[in-house]
Amino acid sequence: MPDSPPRRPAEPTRRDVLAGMAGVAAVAVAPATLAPAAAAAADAKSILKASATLTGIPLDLSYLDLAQKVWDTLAPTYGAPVLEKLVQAVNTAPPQRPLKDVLLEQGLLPAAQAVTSTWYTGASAADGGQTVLFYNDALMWRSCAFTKPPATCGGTFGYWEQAYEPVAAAKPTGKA
Amino acid sequence: MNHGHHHARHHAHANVVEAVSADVVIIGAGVAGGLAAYQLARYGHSVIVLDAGPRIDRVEALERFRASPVKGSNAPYENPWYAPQPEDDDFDSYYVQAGPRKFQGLYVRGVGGTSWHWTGHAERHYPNDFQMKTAYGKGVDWPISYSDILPYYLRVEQEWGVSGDSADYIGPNRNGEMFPLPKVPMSYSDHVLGEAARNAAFTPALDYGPYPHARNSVPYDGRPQCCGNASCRFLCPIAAKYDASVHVTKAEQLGARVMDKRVAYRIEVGDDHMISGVLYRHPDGWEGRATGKRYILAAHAIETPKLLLISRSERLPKGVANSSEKVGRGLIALADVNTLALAPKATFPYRGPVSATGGLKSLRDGEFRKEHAAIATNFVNGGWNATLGPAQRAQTLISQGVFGADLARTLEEQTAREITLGSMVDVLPLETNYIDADYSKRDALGIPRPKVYFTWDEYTEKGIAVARQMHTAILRSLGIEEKDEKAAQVQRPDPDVETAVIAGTTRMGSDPRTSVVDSFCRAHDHPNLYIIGTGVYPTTGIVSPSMTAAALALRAADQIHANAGQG
Repeated sequence: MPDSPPRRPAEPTRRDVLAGMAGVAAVAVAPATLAPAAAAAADAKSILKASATLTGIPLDLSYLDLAQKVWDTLAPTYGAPVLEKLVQAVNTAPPQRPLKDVLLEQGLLPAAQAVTSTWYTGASAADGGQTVLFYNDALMWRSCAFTKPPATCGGTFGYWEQAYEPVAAAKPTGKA
Repeated sequence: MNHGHHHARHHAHANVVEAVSADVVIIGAGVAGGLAAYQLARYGHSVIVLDAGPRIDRVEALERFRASPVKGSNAPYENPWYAPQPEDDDFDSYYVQAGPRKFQGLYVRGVGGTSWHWTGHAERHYPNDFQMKTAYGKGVDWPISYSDILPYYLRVEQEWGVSGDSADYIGPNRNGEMFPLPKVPMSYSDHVLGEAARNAAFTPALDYGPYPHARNSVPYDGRPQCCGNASCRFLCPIAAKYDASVHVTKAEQLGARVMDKRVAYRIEVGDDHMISGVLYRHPDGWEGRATGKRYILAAHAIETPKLLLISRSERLPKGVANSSEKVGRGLIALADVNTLALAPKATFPYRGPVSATGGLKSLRDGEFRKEHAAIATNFVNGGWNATLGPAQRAQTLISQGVFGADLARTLEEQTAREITLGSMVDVLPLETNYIDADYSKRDALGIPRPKVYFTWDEYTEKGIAVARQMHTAILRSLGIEEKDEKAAQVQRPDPDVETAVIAGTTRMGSDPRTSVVDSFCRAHDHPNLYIIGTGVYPTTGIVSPSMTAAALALRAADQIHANAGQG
C-alpha cells in the first residue's frame, strides 16, 4: 500500500490533455450529434452523471459523444429500458449505501459492470472487448494519471527517470 | 485469419510477366536486407529488393494498433493474405506446430520487416557467445570471433545512431569506445528494482544498468528524439526508434529498387551451381522473375530456410544450399521466465521505452555457462501488460463489484505498483528443433506453410530454475514476502517460448558438411548466394540479436563488393 495519501488524478481531464481542441469541438457539436436513441432514452446529462458515479471519474460535457457510443454499443445487448433503469438507480442511490448492493438489489449489476467496463477499457463489454471504441480516451488512463495511453508522447525526453509527481504533471484547468 | 481462401487458383500456372534484373537481388527488406541494400547501392551496385509483404505506413499502423483488441507486437501490421505471418494471439494460424512446445516466434512480412516492432536494444554479442564450445563446452563455436565483427558493430552503431553511456551499460567491455549518442536514462522503476537486486541475497551478486538503444536520445539522422511513447515493442509512432525503413529509404534514394508484394517461391539454380534467378508471385495473380549476379536471402529465420527447402528440384532434391541437410535445422528461440508482482510502493510503470531501459548486467556471461544457460533479465517498463494491463486490472476490479471512487483509486494504486521481471534464458542449438515446409498445408498462394518443432533441454531448464530463484531473491529484497504471493500480488506464469528471437536455421560454419553458409554468410553450395540474418547464428546467447545480424549484413555486403569483379 502506498505511504503517501492516495493521489487523485488532478481534475482536468486527461481527455482534454490528449485530445486538445477535439474536446472543445465535441462540446460544441454535441447537442446536434446526440442520436435520438440516447437523447430520448435518458437525458444525456443524466447518463454522464450516472457514468461518473459508476466510474468514479468526473465526466464533463466533452464526454457526451463517448457516452453516446457507450449507450449505442450496449443498448442492443442489455436493452435501453435496462440502461435507463440503471441510470436512474445510480443517480438516485443513497450515497451511504455501497453501489454494488443497490445494483444487486435491482438486478442491474451485469449492466452496470458492462457500462463501467466499457468506459474504463474503451472496448465494448458487449462482445468481450473485441470492438475497440476509444482506446486513447478510455477512463483507465484518467485513473492511472501517472501514465497515458501507449503510442502517445509522454513528455520531455527522459521523463520516465523520475517518480511521477501529480502536481507538476497536471495543472488543473478548471474545466472539469 | 483471412488467408487461405483467396485466389490460389490464379497461381497454378501463371505466366511470368515481370522480369527485373540488377547486380544484386535481395529477398527481404528488413533489418539485414535493408542495410545490405543501402551499403551495396552506396558502393555503386544496382540493387533490387523484393519483399513478400506490403509497404508499411506508420500512421495506418498506428490506427490499426489502436483499433486492435489484442494489441500485441504484430497488431499494428496488416497480416497479408498473400504473405501470412504469425498472429499475436494464434500461433497455429500460420505455423504448423509439430513439437512439444508451441513455437511463438513473431515476425512481420512487409517493408522494414520485424524491426518495426523490435525492442530497439542495440546489443553486441559477448566474445564468448562466439565460442561457446571452446569457452564452456556447450553448443558450437562460430567461425568468426568478436574481433572479426567489432569493426562492423562500430559501423552499425553509427548507422543506427546508438545511444548509450560508455561508463555504464549492459554488454561486453567496450574498452572505452564511445556511443554515438548520449544515453537513454533508465526508468524510475529500473532504479527501484536495480537497487533491490543489488541488495538481494543471491550469488553471484547482482548488478544492473542501462541498455544501449537504437532510439534517439537526441535528434539524429533526420529522426526525432524519443518522447516516451511507451509503445516501442509495437510501434514507434514518431520513428525515434530505429527501424529498417530508414535504410530501405536510403537505399532507394541511392537508386535501389524496392518492390513490395513480391512473394518469392523458387530459387533457380544453374548447372554451374550458381543461382540463376528468383521466381515470385504477386497477389494480383501474376508472376515475376528477378535475376542478378549476386543474390542475398534476408527473409528472417523462418521464411529463408523455407524458401530454400521449397526450391528443391530433381538436381537438388534436398533444396537449395542444403547439401549439409542443415537448412531449417537447429531452430533457436529463447525461454521466457516472467515474474509479475505488485511492489510495496509505486514504481510508476507504463512510462518510457518498453520493454526495458534497464536490466541486470549479471548472469549474461561467465563460467556458470558451463552449468546452466545464460539469463538476460529486463526490468520491464510495461507493467504487467504494456498495452492492456490497466484494462485487465480494471475488468478484474469491476467483476468484483468495485465501482466509483474505490474503483478509480484502487486501479491507480495497484497499477502504479506493477512490476515485471522478464528473463530470457538461452537455448542451445538442438538438432531436434527444426523448421520445415509442410506441403500438406499451404497458404493462399499455394506456398507450403512452415512446420515447426521446438523444445529445449536440461541446460535451459537449469537456467530457468536459476532465473526463478533470482527473481524470488529480488522480490524478497523489495519487501515482497511469501504471504504476498498467496494474495495474488505475485504471478509466476509457466516458462514460455520467447516471441522475439528466431535464429539458427541456416547455420554459419567452416565445414560445408555441417553448416549452410561460410563466415561471410556465403552459401557453401552456391558461390553467388548469400544468406543473412539471425538464421546464420550457430548459437544465439541472450542478447537482442539484431545488431549482430546488421553487422554481418554489412560484412557480407563488403565481401560482395570486394568480389564484384569475379564472375
